Amino acid sequence: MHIVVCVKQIIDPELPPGDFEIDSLHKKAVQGKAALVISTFDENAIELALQLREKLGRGKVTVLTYGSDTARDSLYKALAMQADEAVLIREESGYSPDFFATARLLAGAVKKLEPADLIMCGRQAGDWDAGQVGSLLAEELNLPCTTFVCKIESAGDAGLRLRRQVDAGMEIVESPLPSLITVTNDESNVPRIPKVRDVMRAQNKKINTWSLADLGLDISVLDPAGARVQIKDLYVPVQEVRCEFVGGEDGDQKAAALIEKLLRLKIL
Amino acid sequence: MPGILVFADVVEGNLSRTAFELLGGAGVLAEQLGGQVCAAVIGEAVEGLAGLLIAGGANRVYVAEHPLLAEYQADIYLAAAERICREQSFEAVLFAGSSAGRELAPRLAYRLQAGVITDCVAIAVDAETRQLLFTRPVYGGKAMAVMTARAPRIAVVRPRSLEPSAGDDGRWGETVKIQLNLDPALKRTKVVELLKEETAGVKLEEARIVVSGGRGIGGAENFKIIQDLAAVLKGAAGASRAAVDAGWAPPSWQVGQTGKIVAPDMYLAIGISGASQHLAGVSASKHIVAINIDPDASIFRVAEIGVVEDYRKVVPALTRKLKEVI
Repeated sequence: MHIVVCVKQIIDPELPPGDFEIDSLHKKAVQGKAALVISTFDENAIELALQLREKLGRGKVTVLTYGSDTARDSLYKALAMQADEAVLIREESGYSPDFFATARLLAGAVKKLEPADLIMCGRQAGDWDAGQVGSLLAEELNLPCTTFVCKIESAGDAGLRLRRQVDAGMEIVESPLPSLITVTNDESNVPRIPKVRDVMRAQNKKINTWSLADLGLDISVLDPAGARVQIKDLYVPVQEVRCEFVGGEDGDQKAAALIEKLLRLKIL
Repeated sequence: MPGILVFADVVEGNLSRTAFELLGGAGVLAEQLGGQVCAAVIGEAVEGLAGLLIAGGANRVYVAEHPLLAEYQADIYLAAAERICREQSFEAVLFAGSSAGRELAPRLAYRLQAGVITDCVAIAVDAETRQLLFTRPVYGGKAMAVMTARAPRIAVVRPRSLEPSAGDDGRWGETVKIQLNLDPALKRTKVVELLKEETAGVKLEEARIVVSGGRGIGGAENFKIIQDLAAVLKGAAGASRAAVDAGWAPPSWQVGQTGKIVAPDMYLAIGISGASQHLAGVSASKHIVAINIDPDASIFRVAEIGVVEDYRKVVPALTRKLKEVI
């Protein structure tokens, strides 16, 4: 079974708000001193893919990303986790693709790879939290799509039995192969921490680097004029709320003061 | 004049509260832009809900009924939704931020060649350009993005972000039944089982008040203190990821970017330090109140009211006193 996991490298989402800055001209976050990491749910997807390969005792896990040279670090990490192959679609011209363009780029790469049986994406990226690329990629490739999968119950040549999170609880879904799933976190797919030895070895592995032309696409895919959504403004919200601390000598007094305040402000 | 279309979620035969929030929001936009408020309802036998949608503000209700729509399945619901969207032109199409809305919206946008914006907390009309502006939190709530999109703009709206319309039984509206020819082969995946989660009391995403506990709670047994306070306030109990990972609270309680996104009137964070991913899930709350023993906890940067104290000393007292007031 060939499993392709699509990942995105993002600015560490745990960067404290005080260190967070925006480049208002390009309408994006400034990396500054923040680390670049694999988006959380994408790591859950890598883990799920590796577990599936291990359970089946066969198969190949290919990790795919679009990005600049820094994105290689995310691929090395995935290789250190024991992914088999890695592909980088190299960023061109500094245009940031919208979600539709990202899906087209990823679809182009998936078609160039050896045929994929299962494609996995994180349910949403930890920077924009849009949760669109997985679904759009499924549309682009005309594949069955199951979102918010937390566990693969079983897998065979005929298809998959998946557990997914929905508002009402958990759904058990059967999907044929090939198909695409988006992955959410679960206690069963906590990403493994690679061994030091594997981290070293991964650095020597080859990363296949493809240009747009390699995918049969041209720069027009990234043309902002063709974007379906546009960012008009990106700003750090002004912290209007300044925390007012309630006074009191002990818990009892503080509880009373809090209630008084909530009633006065008509919050209660 | 193009209308605004609202997809109404149906949960166990009833309209979800979010349907009325979307109708309320659509009403405000339609007033500024002109055009009608339309609602769409999909299911096996849902025509009976049209009257409620009209009372909630819809001028026109599209009813898409078919035996294959008896249970939710993305492919078949998508086919029905696409059909409705091609009935007339729409300025915007609104979905609720439910598990169905979040998966249908991008795929529908793909098929309609529309722009799509997920996790919206506000929609406004630009005074000069008359463009629709969609606001959504990004970077874990550390920034806000204002977006425009290509028509028919599809937006997924966070629950409790828009003011629900006041119902008016005297309102007039029309019902349009959609003739659907659906092929069972459209369903490419099959839902074989739904393991329902038993929620006592109010649903977390829809609660007016949410009381959450974090790592500072210190143990599973102490979550009773959180639940007691939530019960008195007729709210829902929640937890941070740290508390869920520690096994003190069930995963269904998890609030944050990686759990449920909530936007209650009051969010009460107890023993929660305030990791970015947690704050991202509560940033749209109207009021945030925090109780934490550590005066430097990040949660106090977003809280409007803070109590620096050991929660064990203040929360039981709070519960007791509230019983007298409420």
